[in-house]
Amino acid sequence: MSRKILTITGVVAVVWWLALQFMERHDAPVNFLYNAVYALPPLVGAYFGFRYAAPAWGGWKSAVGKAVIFFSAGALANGGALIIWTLYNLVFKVDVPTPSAADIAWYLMYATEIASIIVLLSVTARQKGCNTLMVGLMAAAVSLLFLVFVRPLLTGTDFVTTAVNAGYLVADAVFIALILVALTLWTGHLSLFLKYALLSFGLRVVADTLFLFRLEAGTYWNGDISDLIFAVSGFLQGLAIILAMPVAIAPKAASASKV
Amino acid sequence: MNKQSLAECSSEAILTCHQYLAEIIGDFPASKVLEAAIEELPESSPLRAIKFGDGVGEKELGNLFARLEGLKGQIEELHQAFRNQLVDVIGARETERATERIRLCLNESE
Repeated sequence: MSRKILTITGVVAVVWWLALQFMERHDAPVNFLYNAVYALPPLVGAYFGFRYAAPAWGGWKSAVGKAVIFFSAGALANGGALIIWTLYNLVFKVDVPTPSAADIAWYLMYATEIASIIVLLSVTARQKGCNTLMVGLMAAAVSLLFLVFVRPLLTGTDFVTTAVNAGYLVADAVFIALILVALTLWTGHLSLFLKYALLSFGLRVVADTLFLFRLEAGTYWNGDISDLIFAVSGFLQGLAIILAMPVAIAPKAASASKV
Repeated sequence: MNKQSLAECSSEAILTCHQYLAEIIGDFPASKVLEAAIEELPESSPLRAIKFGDGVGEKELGNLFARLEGLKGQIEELHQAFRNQLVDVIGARETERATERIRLCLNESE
């Protein structure tokens, strides 16, 4: 049921995007409404996360439950940010400022998504080697992304805008580094959740970068290629939550190893 | 499964629990949970001497449980500690499933 609803919202987002490509105008209400359309998959994911997945894992009382709550909160923040973005464009009819309320929601998304993975890693945190590897990977990823993507954006815009935009890429890098470490440790059912979360934020890096460059070049329009990638990323974010739902692992008495 | 029947579990039940947890979160975190359970035991418990290394696998667990066989009187504490850790990681509902699986496993082995 949860997958069907998520798929429907995903298909609507893709079809809507395709329709936008055939329109002559790029500033029509349907363009601005598109941001709200692709807010649906992460919102659906958040709903199923809060309503079913997190309680099934013990909610706030267990590490996995807490991780699902944080991740669902992130998806909710992502959906909320897109709705706010749409309100600026459609209701207030102004260019979205930087920073805006949407930026606050997106930063909240990163904070909660990163917290989600840190909670999972805390289960294995006593391992010294793991901590070293984690710090090393994070430092490497942050540095690389900063050098490759952020530095070119340091010219031509004011400091606050640059800092807010660069913050997204750095947050992407931190999240991806953390989740890569988690994936080396977590190989069971929940690794599916981690893999799709990784894929979601991997695409988000591409979308963020593309969006920033197109914004700088003055070629961005609501519904362009970067929005499609954001939409797919949001869909995967919702899917990750749905895949985090516990499955009844059938008793395997016969196959259980005897010592 | 109540505390009394948990106390009756043999070391293979802990291994079953470890396997169940490993299916959800993987071998390494499952071993970490077991390790944390051991650390939860009283300072005086001889089971505190058990340490996991990196990448604990079937063989290492086998050795561990072989050693536990000689310490059956201490097992109940370990079961309870492991259950506490399990609840902390995967919540009460999944822990119940795990313990149910242990019960089925034990019935099978009788």
